[in-house]
Amino acid sequence: MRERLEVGRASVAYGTEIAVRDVSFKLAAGHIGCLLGPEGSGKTSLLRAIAGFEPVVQGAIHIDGARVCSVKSKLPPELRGVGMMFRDCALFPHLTVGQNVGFGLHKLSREEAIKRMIESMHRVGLRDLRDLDRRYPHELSGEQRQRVALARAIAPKPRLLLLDDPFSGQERDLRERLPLEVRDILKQAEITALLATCDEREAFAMADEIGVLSAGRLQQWGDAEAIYHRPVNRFVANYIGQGAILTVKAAPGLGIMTEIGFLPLPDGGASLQGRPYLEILLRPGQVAMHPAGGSNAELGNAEVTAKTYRGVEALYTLRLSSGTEIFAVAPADNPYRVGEVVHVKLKPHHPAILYMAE
Amino acid sequence: MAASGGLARLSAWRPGAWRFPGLFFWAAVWLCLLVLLPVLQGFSALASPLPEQWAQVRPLLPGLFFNSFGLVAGVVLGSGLLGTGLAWLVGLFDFPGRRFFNWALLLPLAMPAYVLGFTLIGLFDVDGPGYAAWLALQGESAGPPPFRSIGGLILSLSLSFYPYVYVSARYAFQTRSGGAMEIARSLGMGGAGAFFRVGLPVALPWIGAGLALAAMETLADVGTVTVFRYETLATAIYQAWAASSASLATAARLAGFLLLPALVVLVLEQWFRHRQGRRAPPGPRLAKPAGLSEPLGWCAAVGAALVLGSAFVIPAWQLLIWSAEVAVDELDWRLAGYAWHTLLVACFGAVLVVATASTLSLAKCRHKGAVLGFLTQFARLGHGLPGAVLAVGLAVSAAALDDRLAAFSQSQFHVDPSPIVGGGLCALLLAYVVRFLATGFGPADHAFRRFTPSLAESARSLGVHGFALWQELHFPLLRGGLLSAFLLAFIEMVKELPIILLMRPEGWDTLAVRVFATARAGEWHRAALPALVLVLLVLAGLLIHIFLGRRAENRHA
Repeated sequence: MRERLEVGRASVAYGTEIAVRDVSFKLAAGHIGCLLGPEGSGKTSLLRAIAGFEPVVQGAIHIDGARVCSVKSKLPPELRGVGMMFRDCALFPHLTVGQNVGFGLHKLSREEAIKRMIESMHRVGLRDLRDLDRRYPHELSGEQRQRVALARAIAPKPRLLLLDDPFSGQERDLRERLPLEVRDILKQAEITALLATCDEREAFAMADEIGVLSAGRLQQWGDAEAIYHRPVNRFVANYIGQGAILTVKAAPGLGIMTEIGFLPLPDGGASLQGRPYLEILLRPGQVAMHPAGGSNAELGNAEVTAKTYRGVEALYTLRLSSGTEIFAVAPADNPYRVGEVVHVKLKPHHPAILYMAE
Repeated sequence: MAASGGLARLSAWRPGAWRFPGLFFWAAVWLCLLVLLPVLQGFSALASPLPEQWAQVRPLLPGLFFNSFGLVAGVVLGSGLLGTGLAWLVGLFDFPGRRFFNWALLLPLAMPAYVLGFTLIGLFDVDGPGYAAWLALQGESAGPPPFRSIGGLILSLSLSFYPYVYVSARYAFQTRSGGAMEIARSLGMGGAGAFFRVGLPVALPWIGAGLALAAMETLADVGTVTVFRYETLATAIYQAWAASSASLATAARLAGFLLLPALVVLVLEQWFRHRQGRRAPPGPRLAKPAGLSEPLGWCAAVGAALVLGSAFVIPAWQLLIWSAEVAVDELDWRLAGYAWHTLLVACFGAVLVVATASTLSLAKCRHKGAVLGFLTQFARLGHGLPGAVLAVGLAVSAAALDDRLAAFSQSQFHVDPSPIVGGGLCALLLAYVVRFLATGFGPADHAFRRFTPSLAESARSLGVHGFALWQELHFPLLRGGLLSAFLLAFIEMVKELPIILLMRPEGWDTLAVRVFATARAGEWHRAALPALVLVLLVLAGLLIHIFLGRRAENRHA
């Protein structure tokens, strides 16, 4: 598969303040990538560097193998074929809906431009929007504006589309629905895209590959499963999903001893040589609860300290005898109550408990 | 503490509870009537039978209209180019000295147009330094530069009024155009195309509103045009007024004629503001200014410095020199008297504006109805009425009221009183409130809107009530906004000329009046000292305002 975008050891700085440090990743043509990270982690700066609005102070950015940005030279944004979509839609308020969608098609002939306009309006689900040449952006609903902005961005068939937190201004139910729909639209139009968001659900719903950013550094690059189940460090483990981090004892040659059971390792624990203690991440789905007799002082028992209904299932917060808190999920109709003592075990079929580099 | 009572009631306000429209409502109605009065007066003057002297004025009328329109067109063009150009540079590019020019380009606001006007004329007068430079440039045989001409006047007024366009356009470029232009470039449009097809049109409602303000000021100007010996509708009103009390009717009719273009400009301004509302709210991200290459950056800095120099630095310096030359003769108690009058009128007027603006803002908070919304909006339209129109309208009404009062007092008490409403400062201050209510309303309303009912409710639920509530919550929250409203109104009133010129009581000369009288006679040196004091007063107000604004900003950051 061809690499559409390649970011090589890129750093972006505003004066003395470094926003992006030494970031490298590749995105294949047709894939949807995502930069996931909290506010101020450098997502937007990185997108702006790729689009051509910020220079890099180190490294280089390649699109389709051609260098578009390095410390020495910078291709202007209009020559990169990189589309952008912002969170506030940024439709041109003085132009009609039709003029907005056709804005990027000024180099095409009129017939060709109209054909492409109609095509992209259909793609984004605005088949029924009438009077394109008389209606202005302020007359549209929030959702329609979002769709028009997407139509405008994909109409010139950009080599790469950058989406900067595009759903953040929308209502809750749209935020659940739109990412899936946008993914389908982009996939059908065969557009390579890079999304920036701080919402992991959006990232999981849309992206083929996810990069977790924190403090300007790329912490991990991988698919959703890898990010969720094999985080490479404590930040990624904490930031993505729910889970508890436990300090456990290694049994070299065998596996890991935890408070709630023994965890064998595929390589027999050979990799644990020289590490007497380490941290593991326990996802709620990896913990099973059983009825228990006795108090929570007994090994393997835990007290239910909180129970949160989440619809079909409930999330339990459990306090182990050592005082450590872990999480578990169980069907919402099961009988455990707050204050009750339960027996907890690692689920045998979920051996994917992760050990982490320190 | 009327406001505290109002706030207490405000905090007890419940949606849906209809009350008899109270104090606030009627206050708003009265204010609207006050704004409406000069307008109605103007129209009725147009409709009433022709005054005696009209036969002499009538042939001049087309020329006056032509002069006024030509001047407005020139100043709109000049201040539009200056203001938009500077806003474009400062708002979208980074160049040496940008942070300085960002605020320093507002300094010309501290210098009234008539002060800048006479200083520029003086600079190019036969004994001025500008004349020497002119001779060196043109050769010894050249005559004096034709500065006292329509071109010079347009230049002078453009240099005075460009900050209105600059402020408004800079805001639009920074908050709206930047992001839109980036989108345009990501859609394959080059830098220049992105500016002219997207950046400029997006900012147009703000540029237009700024231009409308400049046009209003130009229509209303009496001081500068008189110094340049240029006849407009506004100067004609002043001359008719000053000629004799018998020509009051002529002045009123001329005011009616000036009212028409002023209303057109006012409607345009409101239309532009309406269009601003249609633009999307500012994006979360301010456009980062693009760096300019070395030679271009210096060109930009030189250009900005040239405008700032000719609109403020050089004239201020010239004022200092002239003042120093005449200080021995002119620095006396009379000057102190002018300054005292200015301070008194401006302080009183500004306090009245703050009180009125607060009342209106409270009224808007309490009765969220459409009627009151319209009334408060309408009451602020006085800023579009030229000072001369306002003065004539209110003076005529006041005179009529005084006649009634005199007749009443004669018939009842057999006493013939001196005019009560029209004679003193009363009508003058009313005119100031009408003219500058909009200036003070913005910051005052901002302060009151921060004061939501839930805020007072949570304070009460914490056991704070009565005077403590006022002391702990209301006062600290409102203080900044009200002070800022006071300062802005104060600045405008210190600079104001036509109203004080027409409506001041006998012997009540202020700095502005003194500057006008001496500059009109061509005595630049003698005009310089009161002008300098005036500029310093305005600067003091402006700097306090800027300082307080910075402090509030830092506290919120």
